[in-house]
Amino acid sequence: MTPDELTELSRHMDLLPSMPAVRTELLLNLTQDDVSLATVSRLVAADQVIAAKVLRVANSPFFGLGCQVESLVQAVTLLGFSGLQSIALACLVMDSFKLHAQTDWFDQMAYWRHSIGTATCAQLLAERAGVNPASAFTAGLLHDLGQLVMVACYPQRCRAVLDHRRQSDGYALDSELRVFGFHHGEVGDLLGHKWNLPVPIRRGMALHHHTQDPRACTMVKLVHVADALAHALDLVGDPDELVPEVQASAWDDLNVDWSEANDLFAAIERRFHQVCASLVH
Amino acid sequence: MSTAHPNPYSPSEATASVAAVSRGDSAAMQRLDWLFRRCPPHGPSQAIKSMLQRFREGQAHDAR
Repeated sequence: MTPDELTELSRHMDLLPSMPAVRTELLLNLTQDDVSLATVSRLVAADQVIAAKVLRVANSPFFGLGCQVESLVQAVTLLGFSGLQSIALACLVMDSFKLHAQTDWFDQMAYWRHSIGTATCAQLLAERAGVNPASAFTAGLLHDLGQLVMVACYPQRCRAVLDHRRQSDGYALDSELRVFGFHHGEVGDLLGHKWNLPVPIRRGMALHHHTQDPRACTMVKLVHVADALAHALDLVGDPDELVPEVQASAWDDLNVDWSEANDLFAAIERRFHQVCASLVH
Repeated sequence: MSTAHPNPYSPSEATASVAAVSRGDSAAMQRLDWLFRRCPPHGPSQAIKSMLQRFREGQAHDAR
């Protein structure tokens, strides 16, 4: 991205509706590894919309808790800290990014379903790769957020990206480079910087299509493979679906034991459909 | 949509084709080929595809 493009994009991003202070603080805390349970509980409780959504998800069949969850304290006890962290983050980001009617050509539900699919793949892969599963879920959920920012800031040009992608039957990244000269990873990195997200999550947003970059850490490689897996499992059912190529070095570096791949795929599909049933309508 | 890679699945057929993949029938395997059409025929992408083929065949076997 050139300095001029960066300045223009920053100016556009400044025009996006800003998050209330309590949400900015919650987002920051939800994406840290060392945050306390008391802090997250207090911040979730302070946001009635998020608190209500967390309770609704906690009471969904996904968790099969067998009892009515009526308070956040009870939800935390039953879901565990990482469960609360993942659900609250998903609710917060999805609730904060609502596009206006001018972008009704953009399938936002498909976007979120792919994000949840990648988050689910990343979380379950992380358990097999020795990476923090909660952080992996976050990185997967946010990995394409730059796309949403681009749609919000440049709806007409993003429509041209979509048209080019369909006509070329190629990858969104290539069409973005063709139309914009930069891609959603660069925009995501800018947003991650603006939101002060942890470096591994920012790197996941910025570099999940560029694992050869010297800054690509384990989280980047995890998101890269999780993204491909979410496409390969056809979780969204997009008729134009296309699996991105997986880089051998990223695959090897994760060192995942694939001998029980059937169990992994089944677990991903099960969890994906349950989480979507709770979060995406 | 490219003329070089015509998409045999209309939006309304997408869900049905996903279900077909789960049944492990030949149309389902075509859908897998379609999903991986830009990937090289070797390396990790093909490893994922092979594992998915076995997974879908297992699902089809269990369904029977």
